[in-house]
Amino acid sequence: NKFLGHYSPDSFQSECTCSLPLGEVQYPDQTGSQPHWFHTLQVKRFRVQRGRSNSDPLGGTNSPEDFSWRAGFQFGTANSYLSLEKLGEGAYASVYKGISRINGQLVALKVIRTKTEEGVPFTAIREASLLKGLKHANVVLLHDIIHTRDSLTFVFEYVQTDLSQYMTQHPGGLHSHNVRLFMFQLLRGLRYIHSRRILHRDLKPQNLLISYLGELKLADFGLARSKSIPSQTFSSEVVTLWYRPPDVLLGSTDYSTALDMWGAGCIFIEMLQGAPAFPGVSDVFEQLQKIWAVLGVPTEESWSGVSQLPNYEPELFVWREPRPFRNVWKRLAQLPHKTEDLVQKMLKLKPRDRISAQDALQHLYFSTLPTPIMHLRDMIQHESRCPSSKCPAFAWRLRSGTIFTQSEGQTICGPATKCW
Amino acid sequence: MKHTLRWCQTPPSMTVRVKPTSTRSHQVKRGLGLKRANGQDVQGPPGKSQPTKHQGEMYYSKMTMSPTIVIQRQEMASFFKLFDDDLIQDFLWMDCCCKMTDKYLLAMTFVYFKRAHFTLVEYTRKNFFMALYLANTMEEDEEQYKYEIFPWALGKNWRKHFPHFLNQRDKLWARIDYRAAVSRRCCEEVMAILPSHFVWQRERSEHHSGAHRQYGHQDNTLMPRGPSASPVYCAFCTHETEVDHGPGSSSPFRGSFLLEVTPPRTTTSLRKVKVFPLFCPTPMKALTYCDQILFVSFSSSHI
Repeated sequence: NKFLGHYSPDSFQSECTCSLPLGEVQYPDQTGSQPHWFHTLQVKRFRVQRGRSNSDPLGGTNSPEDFSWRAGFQFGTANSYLSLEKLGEGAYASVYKGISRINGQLVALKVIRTKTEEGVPFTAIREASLLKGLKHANVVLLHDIIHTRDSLTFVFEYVQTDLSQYMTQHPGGLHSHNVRLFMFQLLRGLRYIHSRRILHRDLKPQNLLISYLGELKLADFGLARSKSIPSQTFSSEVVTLWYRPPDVLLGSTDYSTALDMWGAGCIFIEMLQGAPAFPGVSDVFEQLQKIWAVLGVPTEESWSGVSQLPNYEPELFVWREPRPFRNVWKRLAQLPHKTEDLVQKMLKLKPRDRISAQDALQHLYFSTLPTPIMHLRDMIQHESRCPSSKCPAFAWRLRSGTIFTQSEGQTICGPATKCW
Repeated sequence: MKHTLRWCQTPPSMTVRVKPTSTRSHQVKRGLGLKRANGQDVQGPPGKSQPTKHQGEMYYSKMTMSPTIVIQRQEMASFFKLFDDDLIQDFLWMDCCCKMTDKYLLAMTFVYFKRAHFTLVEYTRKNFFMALYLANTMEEDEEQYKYEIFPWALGKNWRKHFPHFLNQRDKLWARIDYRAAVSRRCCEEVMAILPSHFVWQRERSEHHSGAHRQYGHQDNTLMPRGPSASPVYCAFCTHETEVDHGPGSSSPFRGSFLLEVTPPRTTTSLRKVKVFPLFCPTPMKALTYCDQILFVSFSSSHI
C-alpha cells in the first residue's frame, strides 16, 4: 500500500526493535527481564502494522521534520484515513483502528450511525462539542471530524488499551504503585474537566484508556454535560449502574462534580481488589442495597434531605450498619491507612461530603509520588491537528507484577489498624 | 407582549475574543468570550491584559490574527428583532415555564448565529428555531420538550418535514465548527450587552431542572401541541406565584425559596417540598447559588 510508505513491514520491524532499548533507557530502575505488562503490549504492537501515535512518544522524535506530510490529503475528508480492524462496537457507534494518510499517525475512528429520521445523535453532538474545548494529557484527544451526508466519523488519538482490558490481563488486583499512578492521572483528568464545569457522567474502566506508557485518558464523552448553567434539565439515568452514586440512584437530578468522584472511588477499589466495588445485579434497588451493605442505610440525621429523594423508601431497605472498608475490601487492610482514608473520602453517601478531585490530588496517598509529578502543568494543545505537538510524554514507570509485594504486606500493623 | 427595544443604550460594538485554537484551517475561530467594549468587565474573563491561572496567555501572544472580532450593533438588533415576530412571540408565551426558551438557551442561540457567521439576512425565524433546537440538544437532558419546536418551526405538516429540519440542524452544527458548547459566562456576557431586554428576563424556575425519561408508548400528551393549543398548565409555576413566601423569606426573587430541585417522590403540596440546602444554606438568587457549586475558577473562553 503506497500510503503506508515507510511503514512497510521491514522498516516497521526496525522501528520496533529500536524502541525497545529506548524503553529500557527510560526505565533505568527496572532490572532484569522486560516487565510483563510491557511485554504484552509490545506483542500487541508487533501484531499490527503501526507507526507513531500521538500517545507514542517512543515512536518518533520530537522534531516535526520527521513527519512526512503528504500533499493532497486534507483534514475533514474520509480518504485521509485508512480504516484498519474493528476495535469495538458501542451503542451508537463502531470504533476502528485507522491510520492517517496525512501524517502516518495511528488513529481511532469512531463511526457514528446517523439515521435520516433522527439526524446526528445528541450524544455525538455533545461529545464532539465538549471535546473540542478539552486539551489535556489525561483526556483523549479529538483530532478531526469527518462529516458527510451519510456518516459522521470522529478521529481520535489512538490509545492501545483500556483499564478494563488491562485489569483482565492482570487479574487479582493491580500493583499498588500502578494503582496510585492511574488514580493520580484519573483525578488530574477529572480536576481538569471539572474546572471547565464539565461532568463526565459515565466513568467506568472501559472508558479509561491506557497507553502502553501507562498514560491514562478519560474517553467517551457521549453522556458528558456541561454543568454551568442553573436550572437546566439533568437526568438521573446517567452512569453505568455499578459506578452510579447513591444520590443519583435515589433519583437526584441536582448532582454536580461529586457524581464523577463516586465513580472514581469505585474504580479505585476495583483496581486494588481486582473486582468491582459494588457489582450490583440488575436494577437500581439492588444496586442501592449493595451500597448500604457497606456504608449503611442513610437517614435524615446522617444525610439531611435524603428522605425527599424520589427512590428513598426506607421501609424496603434492609437495615445495615456501616462497615469498615478494610473488612469489606481486604486489600485495603494490607496497605497503609492513607489508601483507605482516600477511598473513604471519595465514597461518601452524601454528595457534598465527597472529596473533590482537586483536594484528592493533595491527599497524603499521593505523597510518595516524585515531586515533579505534582507540578505538572495541565497541558493545553491548541494545535491538535498538528503532529508536531506531541504530548510531553511522562514516564509513568509502571511496575510489573499483579500481586502486591511483601513490603506492602508488612505494613498491616501500623497506622492501618487505627482506622474507623 | 409588546416590547420595545431601546437601542440608544447599546454600545456601538462589542469585542469578542477569539479562541486561540486548534485547527490549521484559515477560518476565523469563534471562541466566544464576549467582552463589552466599554470595559465593563464584570467577571474578569482572561484576556491579553490579564494574567490567568492557566496557560492561556502564552497562546494569545502566539496568535498572528487579531485577537478580537466585533459584534455589530445591527447583529444584536437583528437578533432582538426576531422577537417582534408574532409567531416567535406566541411561541415564547406558550413556553411560560421557559423549559426550552430560558434566557441561557436564547443567549446560546445568538452565540450560534455569531459562530455560524450569519449575515443579517440570515437572522431568520427558521434559523432561530434551528439554533434553539441545537441549544436544547446540547444542554437539556429532557428530550421531550424540544419537540414542541417542530410545529412552530415547520407548521402543520411538521411530521413530514422534521427529518429535513434535523438535517439542517446538523449542518448548522458543522457550520459552527462542531462547537455547540457555550459557557455560562459567554451567555451572560451576551446578556450584559442589553440586560434589560425582556428575553433576558426569562428565568427558569429550579423545579423545572430535573429530567425524567418517559417510558412506554408515547401517548398524545407527550406530542408537540403546536401553535393552536394553549400553554400547558403548570401546577408548580402557578402555585408558586400564588404562594406567600412566608416569614423568613426576604428574597425578592420569585421561587428562590425552593432550593429543592429534585422533584419530591410524593407530589402533594408545596409545603412538603423542604428546603434542601445542598450547596448553600440560605436562599439566594439562582445565579449566585450556582457560583458556589463550582469550585474551581476557569479561564477558558471557548466552552
